[in-house]
Amino acid sequence: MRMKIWFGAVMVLLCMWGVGLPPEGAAAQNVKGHYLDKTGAKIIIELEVSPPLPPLIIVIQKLPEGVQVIEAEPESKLADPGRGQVKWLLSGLTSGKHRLELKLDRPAAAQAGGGEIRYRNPADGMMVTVAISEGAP
Amino acid sequence: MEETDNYSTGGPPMVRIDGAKVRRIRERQGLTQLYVATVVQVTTDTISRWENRRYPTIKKENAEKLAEALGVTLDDLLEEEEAEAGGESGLPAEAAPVEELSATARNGVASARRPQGLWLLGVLVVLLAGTGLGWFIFQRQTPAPPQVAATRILPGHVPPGQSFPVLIRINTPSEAAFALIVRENLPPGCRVLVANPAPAGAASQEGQLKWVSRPEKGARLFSYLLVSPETPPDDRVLSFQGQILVGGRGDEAIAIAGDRQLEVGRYHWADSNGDNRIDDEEILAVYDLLGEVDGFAGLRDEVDTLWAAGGYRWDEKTGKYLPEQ
Repeated sequence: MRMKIWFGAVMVLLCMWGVGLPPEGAAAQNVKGHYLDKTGAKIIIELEVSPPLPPLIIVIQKLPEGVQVIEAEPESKLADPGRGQVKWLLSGLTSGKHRLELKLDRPAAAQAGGGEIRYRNPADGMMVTVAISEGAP
Repeated sequence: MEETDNYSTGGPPMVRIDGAKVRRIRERQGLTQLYVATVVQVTTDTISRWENRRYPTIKKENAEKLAEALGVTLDDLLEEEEAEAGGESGLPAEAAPVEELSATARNGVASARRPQGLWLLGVLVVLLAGTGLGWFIFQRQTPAPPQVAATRILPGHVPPGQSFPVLIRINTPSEAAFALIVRENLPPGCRVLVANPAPAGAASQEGQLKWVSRPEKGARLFSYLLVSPETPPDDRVLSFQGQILVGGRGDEAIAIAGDRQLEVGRYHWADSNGDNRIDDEEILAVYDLLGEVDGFAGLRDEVDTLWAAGGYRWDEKTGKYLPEQ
């Protein structure tokens, strides 16, 4: 009987520990992003960067087919409707919040797909891919 | 012969240095004659002669380089007027205190009226105490030589006649400052475009890069941009070899570990998997490698452009990579 109680208690503790474990890669997310605006012809993304600072961050935003980018801030490296995405190469970003803006040639922001952030975590050199969340964190 | 006892006013300006001071300062900093000779660009024999006063006067230009290598001012190396009396007599200045002590000891002993056994015991105690004190001072003044490791980082491949980066990282767990000489032998036919920090220009020879790093603490990075030969070697392999000399470790040369070879092929050096495109992982790796290096902005821009294009091809006519349209 005593053995069963001990075994049960150990199992409960293990389950609690398992539930409490952070999802894989979550501890490495020192770069996060969310949409501030994704309506009309405008897409605004806010990045939040914390140490250790990656030397380079790639932000990818999918676009509806045929939609052109009139303006991008900062200037993007690639805005090609044929490939249906915009990519930013952001180097030397400091800690804190940073804003990326896109102006499209038509009110198609709502139909734009999701976006993602890619970087290498300086702490362990692992590649990290983070989805840009729809709302504020 | 690099130096003469030439007091002529028609020649280069000459100064009188104190060889004993030079040796003291050098040994106190744990620097070898080889290190100093390399920085001043003379032979170790010349350094030895300066220290042993076989050349009491040397060119002022060399004296200034010597002072810089030792981290002192020129005045710190020059003979002082009060030391000239000792120098003229043929004895080095630091011999005088020893002579005085000997005379005092002799007088003290001569005037003492002690049994011979106690006198001998007293001398033995003084000798042991002096030895212990000398050993203690020597240990305090001679720090343990710093542990240093050097690692070279190369890309896996590069086409003929194209530039590529080479990094040499110096790591150490020591918190002491140390001087460093880095010697890197380059593959035949390669040409250096830029090096950071600037190498010891006068000392660099065909096929070799040399850096002289002043005493400082912590890790260091040496980097250079190399152009591969237009006609690669038969085995299509470029081999690198280098070593470092660390101040305080005598003449022991430490080989540069890490990457030693790269292949001459047709893919861009940043295209590590050779698929004719620079993908996200590859460009992130480039920035990890070159992000902290000054002077390589042009190289990063080229990689950015090829990444943005989604692919590239090698153009034989222009000898350049062109973004794939």
